[in-house]
Amino acid sequence: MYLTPVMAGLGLLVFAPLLMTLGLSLFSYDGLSAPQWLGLDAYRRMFGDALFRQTLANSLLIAALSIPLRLGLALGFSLMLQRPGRASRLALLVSLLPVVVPALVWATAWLWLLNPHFGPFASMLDSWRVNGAAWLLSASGARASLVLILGLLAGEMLLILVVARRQIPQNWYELAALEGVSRFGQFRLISLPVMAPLIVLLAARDFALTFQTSFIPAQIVTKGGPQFMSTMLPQYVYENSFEYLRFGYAATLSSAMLGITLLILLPQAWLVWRWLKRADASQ
Amino acid sequence: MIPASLNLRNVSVRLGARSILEDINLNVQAGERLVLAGPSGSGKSTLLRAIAGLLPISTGEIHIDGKPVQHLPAGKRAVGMVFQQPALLPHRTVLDNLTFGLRARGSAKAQAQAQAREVAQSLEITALLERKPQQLSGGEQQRVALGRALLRSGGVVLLDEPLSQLDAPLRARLREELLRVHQLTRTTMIHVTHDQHEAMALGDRIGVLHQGQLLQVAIPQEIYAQPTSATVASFIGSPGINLIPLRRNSDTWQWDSRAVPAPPTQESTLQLGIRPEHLQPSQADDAWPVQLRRREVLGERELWYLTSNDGLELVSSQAAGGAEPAPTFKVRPQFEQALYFGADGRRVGPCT
Repeated sequence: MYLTPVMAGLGLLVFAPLLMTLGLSLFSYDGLSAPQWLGLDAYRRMFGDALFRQTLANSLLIAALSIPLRLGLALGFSLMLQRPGRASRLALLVSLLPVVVPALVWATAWLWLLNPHFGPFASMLDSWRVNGAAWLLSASGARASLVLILGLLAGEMLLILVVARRQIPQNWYELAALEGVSRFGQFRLISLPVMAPLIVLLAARDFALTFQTSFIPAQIVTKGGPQFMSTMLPQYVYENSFEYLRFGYAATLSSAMLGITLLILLPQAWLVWRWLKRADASQ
Repeated sequence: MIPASLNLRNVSVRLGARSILEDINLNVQAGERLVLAGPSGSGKSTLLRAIAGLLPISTGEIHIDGKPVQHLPAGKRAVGMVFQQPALLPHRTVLDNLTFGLRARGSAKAQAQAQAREVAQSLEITALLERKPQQLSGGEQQRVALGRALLRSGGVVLLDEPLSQLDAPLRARLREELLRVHQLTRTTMIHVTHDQHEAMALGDRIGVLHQGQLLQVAIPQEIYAQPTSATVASFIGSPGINLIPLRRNSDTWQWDSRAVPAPPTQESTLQLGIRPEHLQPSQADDAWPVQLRRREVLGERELWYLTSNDGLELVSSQAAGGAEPAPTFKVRPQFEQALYFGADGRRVGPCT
């Protein structure tokens, strides 16, 4: 009974729109005339759409590069910030700023930093004898910028990993030190295996959220260019629904996005499930 | 394993401006069981960690088997250690926990496992080797931790209150186990505890630490009967020693307007130390009137908690089964067993 309001909210705000989207994905609908039934042809049309394939590839590529970068940064810094103190608190605060500041604000800050003509990043590239403006305006430059922006969004993950690392008893590390195990060995033999389920869980979550988190930086910083080479799938959904009024096709794309997310999450969920089962069995 | 000797020379440890250990000198024979006892915060765990190399010393030298090790990192000192918490890695089996260090130092898997199985056999934990630490009881976990320390040790094993987390019957059983393992391996063991029973039961010798200073190192009987200071006398013995302040009255000493025999001394104040078993009911003229506050029956003996006329709280230990004491009666110390401490707490010569 206590769950009724939550269930009602979930039903109204999550499941109803989800079902409507899945239903709408089988129609052609522009919001002005009556929807036209397409059935699975809608999905056939989507797979034949070169722009869908391009934006999906962009999204997957940027997720595949930015999430490991974020994980690596968060894990590396979590080891450096494991000792509580003023410096560690300050570093955590700074790294958390992009998480608590509205996405629009930090995306705009990145827009200035990465501006190909007068941004500091371009002049830094120029000083390394790389043509900053040309590189940032290229497809690889635009994609690398998005990988960098999304990869550096590591504050929340860092906070979770710092807390997880501090939970590991110090005397495990002291024992390893007594056994002559190096710092790196301690990380490999203690920190990593103990934190592995959490790391996989965070990676899975970030993959699930990647279509959402990539939308604003791509929309603000690269605007999907050049030539759709940094357009993310959610941007393509947005353009179809609100710029071209192709609500039916946008629903097809959204449903595909959900399916792809589930497909990526399944093996990770299976891995986490196995860990949990093993942990339960050994209790 | 060949037991190693351990020598500390003028070892001090400071954390910032705070002195944690002051000028510790200690010689432990190869194969000896030394117990470092002291109240919480006395520096005993710090001393153990300094020996292990987990904490740098500020001054002094640490020699293991005659070789200075104070500049060596923890991993090069070949010292095994058991912590208060067993600190077994939860994602590894007992066997993997035992072989952890051997494998990390480059031993082949088969060789490491053979060594681990040998130690497991001596600790009677062979049946647990394939289990995860979470599946073991507290006592079993500590036995595994001891096994790991023995496998690491080059002759010295440090035990930092390894029994303090266990319940009383298990503690007693593991005390026996430790003695049996020591008999078997003859390894040098430095055992830290705040439990004086444990100290008396396990130590060939006991070292009493207080506020970072090593006050006395001696065999258990000597520590009990001949403490060098009031602090040592108070720490060893349960219930604690009765400390009675004496006042000088020209050439004699008095307490509660009664003359008390005391050794000749120039001290201005004295404390008379009487163990509870040396304070017995008496009808003698010079016996002290006391009131019975509480009586605690412990089975083989009972404790009487008393208050003297001037409000001093005393304890007397009696064999159980005697007559019930009256609400007020008289007690007399066995002065031939009495200890005397000066103003600085140091022991003053025996009563003559």
